[in-house]
Amino acid sequence: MRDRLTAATLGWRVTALGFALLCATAAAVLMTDASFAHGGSLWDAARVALIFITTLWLAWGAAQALIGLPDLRRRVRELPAPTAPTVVLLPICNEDPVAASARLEAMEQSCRAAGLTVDFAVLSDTRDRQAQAREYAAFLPLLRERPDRLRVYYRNRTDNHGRKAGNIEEFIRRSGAAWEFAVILDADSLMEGETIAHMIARMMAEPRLGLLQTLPKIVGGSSLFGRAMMFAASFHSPVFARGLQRLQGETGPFWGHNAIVRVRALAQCCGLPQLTGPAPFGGTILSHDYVEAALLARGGWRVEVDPAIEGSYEEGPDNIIAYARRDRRWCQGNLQHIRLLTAPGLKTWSRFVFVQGIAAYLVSTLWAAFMIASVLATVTEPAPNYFPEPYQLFPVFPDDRTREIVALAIGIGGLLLLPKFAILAQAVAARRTPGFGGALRATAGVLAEVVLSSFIAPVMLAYQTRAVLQVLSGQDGGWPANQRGEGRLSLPESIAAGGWIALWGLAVLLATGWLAPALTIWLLPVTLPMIAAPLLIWATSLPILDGLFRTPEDARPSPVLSHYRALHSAPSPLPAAAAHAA
Amino acid sequence: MIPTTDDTLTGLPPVAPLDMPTQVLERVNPAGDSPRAAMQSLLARLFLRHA
Repeated sequence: MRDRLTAATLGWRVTALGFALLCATAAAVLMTDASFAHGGSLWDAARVALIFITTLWLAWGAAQALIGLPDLRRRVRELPAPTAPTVVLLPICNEDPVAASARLEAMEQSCRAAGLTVDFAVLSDTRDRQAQAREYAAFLPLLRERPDRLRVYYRNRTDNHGRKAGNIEEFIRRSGAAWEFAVILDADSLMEGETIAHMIARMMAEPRLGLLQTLPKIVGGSSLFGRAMMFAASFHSPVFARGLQRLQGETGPFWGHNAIVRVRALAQCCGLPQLTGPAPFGGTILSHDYVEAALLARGGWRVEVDPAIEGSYEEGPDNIIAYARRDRRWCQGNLQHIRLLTAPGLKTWSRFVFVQGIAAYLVSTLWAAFMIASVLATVTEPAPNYFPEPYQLFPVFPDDRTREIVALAIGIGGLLLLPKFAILAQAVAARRTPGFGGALRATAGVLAEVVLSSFIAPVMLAYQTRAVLQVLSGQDGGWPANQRGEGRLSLPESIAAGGWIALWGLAVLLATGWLAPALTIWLLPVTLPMIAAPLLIWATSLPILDGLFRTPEDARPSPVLSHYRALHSAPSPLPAAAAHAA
Repeated sequence: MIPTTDDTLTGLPPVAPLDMPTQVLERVNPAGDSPRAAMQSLLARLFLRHA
């Protein structure tokens, strides 16, 4: 099949790259001006290079948001009736079976309400015998064939080869031929029947479309951290995703769930190999979704994300520790893609997507390296020579370069904040704020999210830097089970998880104060949140009232969401042990 | 009894298995991964060519 890179996609890419290069060059010039005013050292050269790369990354992210701002509605085309045989796949492994079965039941009823006939298949990878029994018991009422119900299948895999990707692959090989499309979910996914119907119709209407990815909204958060993530995902993410959609064109992303795939395309292109060598770089491909998207594109299929598709939901981590644990796995998965950069036949954009994923994690280490280089450059700077000439009457004072440094700081801060405030302005103009409690409440939400993420960012930087160093030193993080639901942490738990960050923050602050006192104030926005890490981890895990980070899903929950909550809160027919199994 | 991939209790429709070829993602060195193996292979090919 012919690859089509449209002029529009190319234009967006050139614009984004041009913007990022312009910002990075400006930052490097300012840093060069400030660093080399009095000669300059190897450390100065290092920090110029580092500021170029880190600013390039920041500006690339900002460009993505800015490109996503215009809401250019595409022509609505006539879609066929969603009659193609479709299976909804629910791969699970050691999940809360009561919640998982309640989600499936809610989706099954939503599909029936939409007049849609699809099948469901629960693909279990749970190994513990007792957990298997509880899981099967939870799903059993849905498995019995009834004329008024859609068909639900369940099977437990005896060989867990290849984890989630292997689980789906086994199903596709063995039974996939019975269906044309497969909707792939995660254990915490929820989708409206109408949404699934729309996706099937889209796949039927576009025979070259191999995979259609939705942008799931995060739901179910109750803590300060969880609700801030929910708000950001609901308020900012659609614009970022629209930017991504414009940049990626037909070489779009797959995020592993809440997507529909053409079974034939998946079978043809996505049999994943085990990589040679041991983990973390060899063995099972962890972030399989990115690789599958690249392989579908290599096979000539279109892969698209459509953030305009509503009715797609997932849950997110409800505290920083759960987020960092998931991020550790993603870090390893993305760094593993270093191995795949030269994979034969991939599209250039797919390779670039791998580079982006790798850079997303390496950039934390580069920011840390920039701070270290800045301290060392200041420490090794020679003392100013006020009388460079032998018979000089008046002293020559060194140029003050504070202005350049302040300009640089404002520029970097601007790149971080500009997208969020631009999205706020766009939301007000497009009358998108009523769902968020009105313009004032939305503004308060954006401001609170900016403040919160400014405090949390140095803590995340510490976790990501540790994760990168662990992976690069060959430590395999494995595949710990996701912790969903209640996210409240105790103070001792928070100290145990973040105490090392506080100690590092204190050490950096003291070392900077001793070696380069002039830099201390510049590093306070990083060192203070690091020192307060345990407190931040604890405080952000506490539940908050839903007044601050209000989302449209709070005011008008989607029917499938309301139904799931009703089912989940109903007394469980299972023994108490099953209800609390995870 | 819990339906597993080893039995037919799953109730899944009996269909012909789909071919799902394992994709090539690494530029595999036919001689193996280590530089030593690569050198051995090179020498073997040179030897065979001139034998």
